[in-house]
Amino acid sequence: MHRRAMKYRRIVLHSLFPVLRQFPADTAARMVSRIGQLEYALVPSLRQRFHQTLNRVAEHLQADWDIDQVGRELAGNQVRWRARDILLDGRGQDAIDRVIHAEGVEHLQKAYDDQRGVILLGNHFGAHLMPAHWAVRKGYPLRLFMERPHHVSRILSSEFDTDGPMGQRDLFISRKADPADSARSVMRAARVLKAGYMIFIAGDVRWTDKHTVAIDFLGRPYRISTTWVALAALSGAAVVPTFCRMNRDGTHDLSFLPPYHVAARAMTQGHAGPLVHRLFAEIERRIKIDPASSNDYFFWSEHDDPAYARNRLSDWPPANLPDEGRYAA
Amino acid sequence: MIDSALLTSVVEHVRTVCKVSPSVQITEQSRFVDDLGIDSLDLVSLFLTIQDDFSVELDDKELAELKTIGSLCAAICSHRGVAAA
Repeated sequence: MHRRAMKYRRIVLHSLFPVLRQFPADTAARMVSRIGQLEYALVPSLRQRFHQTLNRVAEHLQADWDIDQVGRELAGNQVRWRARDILLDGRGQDAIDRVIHAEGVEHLQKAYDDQRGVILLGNHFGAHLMPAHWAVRKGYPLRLFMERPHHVSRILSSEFDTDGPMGQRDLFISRKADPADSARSVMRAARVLKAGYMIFIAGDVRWTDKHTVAIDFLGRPYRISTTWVALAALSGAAVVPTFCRMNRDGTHDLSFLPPYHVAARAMTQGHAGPLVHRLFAEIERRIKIDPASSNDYFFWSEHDDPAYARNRLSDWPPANLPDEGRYAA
Repeated sequence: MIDSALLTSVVEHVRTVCKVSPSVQITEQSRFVDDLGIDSLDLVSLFLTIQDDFSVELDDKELAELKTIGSLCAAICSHRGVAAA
């Protein structure tokens, strides 16, 4: 969508949030979806773009989707996805439990009880910040290892300014940071994990350096960051993948998968490739079942992300990269 | 001036851990990122290996100052209570 249109939609959305929060959370989520669905109905170019992309991916996945219905739901969910967890502000735990149905909590709890730290491995399928919101509400000591998300609930943003050795403020990363700053961030995150904290990190970040893994995702090639694998290897923390599906009725199905550990030498022994591939196979499997929760995966393009495009267009692979430094795709 | 044995050892670590080509000259003044092209994850591996092998603990503030081979040697010396110069 055109950048200016996105900006106007964001302004409209944010002015509506105080009103929407007067409604039950699931009703408010459905109302937000209607905005996207209305755009889909009214803007032929948007519909055409969705149809083209959905047809391409459906063919690739050999999925029998009703393209128009998926397109309408996806357009609605994209707006809901961009509302992040704001609609949950000011609501009690009962209300949260009514709209977030969590399963596999025993996996998360088991990993947490081991006291070696937990990497809560998120992604951009469905409501991508809900696992963090849910974990904070449940009292888990959670830190985010990602760029600072804006326009989030007050409960999450209140966690963002915590200071000190285990504080959140110094854990936010930047795509513009130089490698030395990034290295310090990773070491800081490893220390936080070793103190038994939970770190929420996205496993589906497109990136370009020699540690990335090449994947074919929804029929297109990308390179994916392996920072989460490195962090798991360095810290010995358990990895718990999590997914949060957005349901039509405004509720969410939050799932935690069984934990696993990454070998300490995973990065040098070529384990990163298979781990990243396994994650994306799971994301793709879920997309095939529930394409309306795929948010912007179908529209991933290197042109959407200036940093990615800039790096990708530069010298790749670097001329001085030794063979043993290349990770198996 | 850094102790030459320490410098040699640190340079060996850099070559091994960060896989810097033998054709690239590494000196006390070499910068990790700008001159040697070391990326963030290799830097993490390097710092962790240095911590283990030299029995030193580098804190956040020190890590922020580590830009060159020489600064890393100096940090190791300072933890060992040995003058770098």
